[in-house]
Amino acid sequence: MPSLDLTFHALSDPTRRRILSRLAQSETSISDLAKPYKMSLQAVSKHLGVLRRAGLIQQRRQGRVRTCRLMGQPLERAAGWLVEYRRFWEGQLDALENFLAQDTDTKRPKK
Amino acid sequence: MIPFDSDSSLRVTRIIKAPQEKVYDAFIVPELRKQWWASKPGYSCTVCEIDARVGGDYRINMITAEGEFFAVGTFRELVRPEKQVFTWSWPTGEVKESLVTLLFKAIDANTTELTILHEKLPSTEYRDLHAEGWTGCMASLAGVVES
Repeated sequence: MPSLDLTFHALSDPTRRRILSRLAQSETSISDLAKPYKMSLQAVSKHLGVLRRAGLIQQRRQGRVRTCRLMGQPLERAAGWLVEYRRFWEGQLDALENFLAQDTDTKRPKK
Repeated sequence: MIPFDSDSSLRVTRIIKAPQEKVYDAFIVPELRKQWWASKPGYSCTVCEIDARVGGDYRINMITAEGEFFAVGTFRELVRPEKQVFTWSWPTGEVKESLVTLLFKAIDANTTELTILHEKLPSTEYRDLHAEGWTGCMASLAGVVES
């Protein structure tokens, strides 16, 4: 399983995220992936290489056409990591909110 | 779900019923920070050192059933009462430094919108070491509010 660092690095580029969104809908040929971006096949291949090394996509040959498909597992791990940190901060904010609410309540009668 | 629209950063926003300065100070005044950070019964914060100036360090612990965790880092930016930027890491084990930005926006005199942006999140090695501790810690934090 590739490291989470590789996954996050792969996700850090908007073009690569758009490629993943496209692949989430269906397996797609590399030439079709290149079309919306007016990019050279070479440029697209470079992005696909990053995604492949991160384990986010798999490429295969169907006859003369090379296609890509999305691999969900690394994404789930990355998402899981973000979810945990989100829960951590949400929990701290809940505590902060409680604290500030109490503080305001105790001060109110003095006014 | 799957975060195609995000990279390794995380954004949490909350509307808090308190004045902007008060929310801002709750993070950097040690006497205030200690009262809400790790505030669940059985959890505590006993060390809270905050040198709140650019280049100053902070060191805050959180004692939980799973052990003691220190959050440490250095302030990069402090614009009272609007913005705090600091590095963030848990130095137990091999930990990469991440970056936290807090944005405080006054909605009215007694309402603040707080945004936490956490970027450059740590590597998988760290996660594997502490995932269990975190899960327990966060679950109990959730318990406080829901009770």
